[in-house]
Amino acid sequence: MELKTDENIGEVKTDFAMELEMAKDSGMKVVGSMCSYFPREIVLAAGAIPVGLCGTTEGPIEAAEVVLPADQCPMVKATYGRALNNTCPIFPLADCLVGETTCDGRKKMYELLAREKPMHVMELPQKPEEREALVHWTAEVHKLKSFIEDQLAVKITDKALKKAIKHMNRERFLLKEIHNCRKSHPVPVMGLDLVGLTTKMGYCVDRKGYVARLESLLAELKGRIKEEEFACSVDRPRILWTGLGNSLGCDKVLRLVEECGGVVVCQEGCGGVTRLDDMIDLDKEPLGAIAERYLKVTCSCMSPNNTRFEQIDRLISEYNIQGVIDLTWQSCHTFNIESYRVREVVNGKHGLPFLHIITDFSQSDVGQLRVRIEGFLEQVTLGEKPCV
Amino acid sequence: MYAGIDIGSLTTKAVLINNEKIIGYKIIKTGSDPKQAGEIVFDKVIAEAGCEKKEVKYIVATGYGRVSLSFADHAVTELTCHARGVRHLDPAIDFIIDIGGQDSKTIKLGKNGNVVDFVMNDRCAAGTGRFLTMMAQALEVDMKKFSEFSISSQKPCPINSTCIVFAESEIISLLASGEAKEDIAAGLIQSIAKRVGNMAKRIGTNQNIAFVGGGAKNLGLRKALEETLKINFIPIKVEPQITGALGAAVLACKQYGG
Repeated sequence: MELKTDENIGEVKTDFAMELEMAKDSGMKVVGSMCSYFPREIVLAAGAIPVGLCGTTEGPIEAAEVVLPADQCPMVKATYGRALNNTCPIFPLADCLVGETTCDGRKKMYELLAREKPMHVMELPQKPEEREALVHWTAEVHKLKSFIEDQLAVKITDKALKKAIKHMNRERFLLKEIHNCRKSHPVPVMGLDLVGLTTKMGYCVDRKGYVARLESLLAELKGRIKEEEFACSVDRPRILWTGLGNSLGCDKVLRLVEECGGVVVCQEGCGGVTRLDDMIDLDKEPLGAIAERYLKVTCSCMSPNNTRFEQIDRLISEYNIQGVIDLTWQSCHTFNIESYRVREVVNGKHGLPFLHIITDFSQSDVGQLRVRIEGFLEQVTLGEKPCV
Repeated sequence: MYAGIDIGSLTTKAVLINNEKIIGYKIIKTGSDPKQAGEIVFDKVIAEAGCEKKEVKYIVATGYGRVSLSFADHAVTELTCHARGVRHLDPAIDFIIDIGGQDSKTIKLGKNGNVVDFVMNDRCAAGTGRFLTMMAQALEVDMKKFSEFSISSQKPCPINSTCIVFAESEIISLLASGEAKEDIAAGLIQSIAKRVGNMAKRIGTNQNIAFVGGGAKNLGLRKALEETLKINFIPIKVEPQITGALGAAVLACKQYGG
């Protein structure tokens, strides 16, 4: 397997759209999802193909801004824009869509997106630590099952759910092991290359094939560590990535960090190690067990989002981190405010350099970002602790 | 002899040092060709100091044009350079506020004069030198007058917009409603001081703060920031615009070329 990727997200999507079309010709159904809270097991148990439709590229934004205000989060705009003017080859192939009430921008945008396809929005409780939250979320998972059954005209059995859980547990386990390989110093793969690979591999019709590819990637990484074939030299500062911007297409900051001499060795958040540890218990009633796992996903829409801080605290030690970068999309109020608490963990508890970046999907601020990132890496390299 | 060249968005600065002492400096406008500005400023500083290029052992470039300077031996960001430059002038300084042409920065220094934390303005010109220039233009006064106005005003107008475009239209409305130019200037300066002051407070200000960059030449802004932060800036012995170039020269001497 080639660990270096320079594949363009447009090509990845076009290839995937072709595969999807063929699968649809053979009678398969496609369910579009928006977010990490979406329990993919339900779609797999229905014998359908789950497809992530969250917007991560600049292309669809222009079309979206005809309807949505310009000063919205680029992710909200890009997700909506995928539904318009054929900006996305995958969107038209979805039979139905599922979203969740995460942030305000998303849930209001979903009201408009629901005009484009049959859509179900799950109500996500926002105080995950309350006992009632899981009760409510479990009911929402039951409603999702009914929606999928109605839309796709299938019956989802417990047996099929358990099979799907087993499969997804395997995917999570392999991804976790892949991320674990990056604890090695130096790392066997650059952060940007891994993001490219996992984004690309994630667009798949055949989940069994996906597992096989994950297995081969894991074997390759383990082999590299054993043979001491590392992706970079020992002196590159090891960076923990948190927040957003962790996917092919919106990777400009990640790219800059590695161009300027750092290496991203761990990503916390969507597309990273978030909740890969949480296997779904096969001995429990399936829908309840699924609900339990997905409610543990961390996001700044939760209040408080304590698990994220615990996770960052733990990852800093586990991955031997020298500096932390927190990326917020412009107009994402919740991640923006929460960054203050991330800084407290990184600076206050660990005494490590911390950089908060606010940007969007455009390239217009790359020059300014470069100053910040180079300065931050100088700070990490010179390694001086703040005077108390 | 060592040189530091700071190619900023509005001005380009060069400093020459020998035995850790400044023997010459030069400030010119950057214009549209940052590479050329770097070459010209270096030629000028060498000529004025009455020495030759070959005497310069090592050159560090900084500022947004730092990578365009092919004859420099090394490039370092202005964050680290300001820190080193200011610390070279006064070992007691442990915090820097820099208002430059296209961005503003607040920088916290460690014991050895390295950056230990910093915050910069985000994708927005408010709180930058360019903002001040544009606002002076909107009021049809020069920078000196703009700064003086803001000191003499007795009742600064509150300015709500932090966006350069909206601030300009707000000024026009204020002028139309008969507000005095000096009160508008004072209001603008206060809005910048609040914004930059909060950036400083976010990383926790220390006591010994230096104010550098072209913005530091604006006495009204200096006074407003001192009031916002409830401190007095530590005076520095050189032109506040050259601390980045000075830090680059210091790095050339101590870190890389020495």
